[in-house]
Amino acid sequence: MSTITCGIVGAGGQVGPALLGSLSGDPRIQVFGICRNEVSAGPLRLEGYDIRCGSVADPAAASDLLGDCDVVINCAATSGTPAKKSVAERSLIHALCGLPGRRRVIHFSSVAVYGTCIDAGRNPFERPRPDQPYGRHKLDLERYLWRRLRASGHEAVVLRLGHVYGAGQWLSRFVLDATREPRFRLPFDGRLPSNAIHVKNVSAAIRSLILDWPRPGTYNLFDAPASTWRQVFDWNTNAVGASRVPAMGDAESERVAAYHRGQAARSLATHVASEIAAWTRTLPGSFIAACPAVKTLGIVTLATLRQEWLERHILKRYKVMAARASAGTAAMPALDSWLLSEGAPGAQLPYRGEVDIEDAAAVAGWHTRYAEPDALLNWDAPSLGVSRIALN
Amino acid sequence: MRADVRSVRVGLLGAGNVVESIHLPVLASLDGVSVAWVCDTDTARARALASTYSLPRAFGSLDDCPDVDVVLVAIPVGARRGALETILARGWHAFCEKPFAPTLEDHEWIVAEARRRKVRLGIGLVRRHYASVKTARELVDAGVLGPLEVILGGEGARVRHTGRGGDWYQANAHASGGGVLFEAGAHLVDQIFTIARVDDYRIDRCSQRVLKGIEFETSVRGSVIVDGGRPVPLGMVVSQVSDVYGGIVMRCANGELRLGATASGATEIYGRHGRITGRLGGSASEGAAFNAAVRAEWREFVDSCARSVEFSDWDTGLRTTAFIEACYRFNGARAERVSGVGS
Repeated sequence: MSTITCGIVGAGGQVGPALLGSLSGDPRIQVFGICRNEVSAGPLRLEGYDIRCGSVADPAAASDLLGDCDVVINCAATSGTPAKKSVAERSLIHALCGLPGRRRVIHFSSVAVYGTCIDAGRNPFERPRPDQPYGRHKLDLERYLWRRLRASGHEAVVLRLGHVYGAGQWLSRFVLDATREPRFRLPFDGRLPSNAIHVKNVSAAIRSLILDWPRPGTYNLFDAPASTWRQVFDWNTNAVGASRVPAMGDAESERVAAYHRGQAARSLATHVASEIAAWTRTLPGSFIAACPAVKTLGIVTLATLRQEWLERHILKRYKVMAARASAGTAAMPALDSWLLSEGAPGAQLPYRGEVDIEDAAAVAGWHTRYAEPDALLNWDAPSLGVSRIALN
Repeated sequence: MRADVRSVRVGLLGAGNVVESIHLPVLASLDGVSVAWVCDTDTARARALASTYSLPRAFGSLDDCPDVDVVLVAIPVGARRGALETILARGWHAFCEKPFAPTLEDHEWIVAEARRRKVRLGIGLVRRHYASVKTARELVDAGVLGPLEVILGGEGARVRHTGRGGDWYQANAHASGGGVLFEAGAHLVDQIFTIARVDDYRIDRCSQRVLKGIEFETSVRGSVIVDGGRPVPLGMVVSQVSDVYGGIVMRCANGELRLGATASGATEIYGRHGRITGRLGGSASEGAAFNAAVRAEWREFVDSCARSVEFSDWDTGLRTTAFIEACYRFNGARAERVSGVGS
C-alpha cells in the first residue's frame, strides 16, 4: 500500500509539532514540515522531524517544497500588522492553489469567525459575523481560498478550529493561570459548551481526514465527544494536581452572560461611540480647568443657555449616565467573553477522539517547567563537574 | 571628538527594527541630542528610515559618514569588528547594542582599542535600568531578606512563528553570535550580575542543544562570587525549545525576591513559606516603562561621555561576555551535541 505524503506548512506553530508527532507514527503517512528559517526549524529538527526550510508564498519555492505532496496542511500564521498578515497569508494560499496537479489541501481556520461570544442565532454557519480582527482575517482567508480553488484542480477541507488545549497550548496556560487568580469564577459552573479541542484530538482528526477524505467543504473541529468548560478546566487542573476552579453562581452567570452577549450584538460603530463616550466621562473636571480655550468655550456656552434648560437636558442626563456607568463597570467581573459562548453552529468533522492519561502527564511536566523556578536547577544537564579553573 | 552635553551628535549604524522601534524614538526626543545620520548597507532601508524620522542624511558606507560624537552600533554582532575599527579610529564614542561582541577576545580587543584611542564605550543592556532591577539590587545590598543563598534565572519559550524569512540574521550562527544564549541570555546574565554585584563566577555544568551551529538551549549550573568572595549557587536556563520559567529568583535566608524580564514588572517578595508577601513597583504600561529605561541608558551614556573617556569593564558588560563564552567553551569541550534529522 502506497504511503500518503503530507507537507505541513507552518509546522513550527501551535498545532504543527503535534501533527508532526502524530502523523510520523503512522506507517501509512509520510510527513514533513516546512518552516521559513533555521530558527523555527531547529526545535523540530532536534526532536527528529523532517523539516524543509523555505517560503511557500513564493510560487517557485512552493513547487520545490511541496511538489511531492499528496496532501498539504496549511497551519501557517504570520505576524505583523493586519495588512501585512493579510498580504502574506493570501500569497501563501495563492501559491498553494497554484501548485501543479491535483492535491488535497487542509486549511486551518478558526472558531473566531463566529465572534468572540458566539450567539448561534446571529451567527449562522454559512454567514458567520466575526467581531474581532483575528476572526475577520480568518474568514477573509477562507473566502479567498475557495475563490482561488475554483481555478485549480485541488480539493480542500477548511477546519474552523476550536480553542486548543494540552501541553504547550495557550488555553491550558490560561486555565492553569486562572487557578492562581483568587477572584476567578467559572460561569454557569462550566456547563456551557467549550468549543475547545485537545491538541491530540486535532492530530486524530487530521489523520482521519488524510486517510478517509470527506466531502470537500468547511467543518468545525472540536473535541469528540464535545466537552464543556468544566470538563476542560477539570482535565487541566487534575493533570497538575491543582484545586478545581470555583463556580460562578447561576444568577451572576446570567447577568454576566447577558452583558457580554449584549456587547457582542452591538455594531462596531456603536462600540466606538460608546467607548469614546466612556473615555470622555473619565476626564476629570480639572482637565477642563487646565485647558484655557476649552474652559472659555464652556463658560460662554453655559452663560448662553438658560439654567432651567441646562439642568433638565444636560446636567441631569450627565449625572444619571455617570452613575449608571460607574455602577455597571464596577459590578461587572472581568471575564473573557468566549467563556460565555454558545456552541458553534454547523457541521463538526467526524473523527474519533484520542486523549489519554499520558497527555495529562505531558501537561504536568510542561507546567512544572514554566511555573516552578526550581525546575531551573534540574533541567537536563549531565553531571560533568568541570570547574572554570580546570577549564582555563 | 569629545561629547558636548548641550548638542551631542549621534550617528546610527544599522537601520533595522531595533533602531527604528527602540532607539530612534528616544533619541529623537532626548534633550541635547541630535541624530546626524543613519548608515546601513541596505541603502534603501537607510533612506526610508531617514525619511520617516526626518534625519538629515542616509549612507550606505561608514566611510562616507561625517563626524559625530557618538555612534549607535546596531548591526549583527558577527559583522561589528570592521565597523568598530573605523568608528574608534575616527574618535567616535560607541554605544553598542547587545551582545557586545561575539567572543571574549573580540570584546577585549574592542575595549583595549577604545582605551588606546581615548573614546568611551557603552552597551545596550537596557534591563540594568529597569525599576525592578534597581529595587532588587537595593534590597540585596541592604540585606533585607538576609544573605543570598541561591540564584535562579530562566528565560525563553518554544519558538513558534518568528515572522522572519530565511535571511534573518538570527538564523545565521556567525551573524548572530551563536544562538539563544547570546540573544536572550545576555540580558538575563547581566540582570543577575547587576542585582547580585557578581565579582566572579564558576561553571560546574553546562548543557547546550545545538544544531547547524545555532544553539537553541543552554542550561547552566554553577556559582557566582558575591560579597567579596562568597560563592552562591546559580541555576540558569535559556531556551527556544521549551517553555521555561521566566524570571529571576534571588533566594535569601529569609525569603525570596522575584522579578521578570519586563520593564513594567514589579519586584515581588516571597516569604519562606513560598507565598507572595509583597510587591514593589510595577506599572501599567510596558511601553512607557521600557521607553523610560532606554531613555535612562542613553542619558547616562551621553552624560558620561561629557564627563570622561574613562570607562570600566562593567560599562561594556565584559563579565557577561566572559560568562557566555565560558558556557560555549564548556559545551565545545565536554557537553553533548544533539543533531536532528537534516542537520
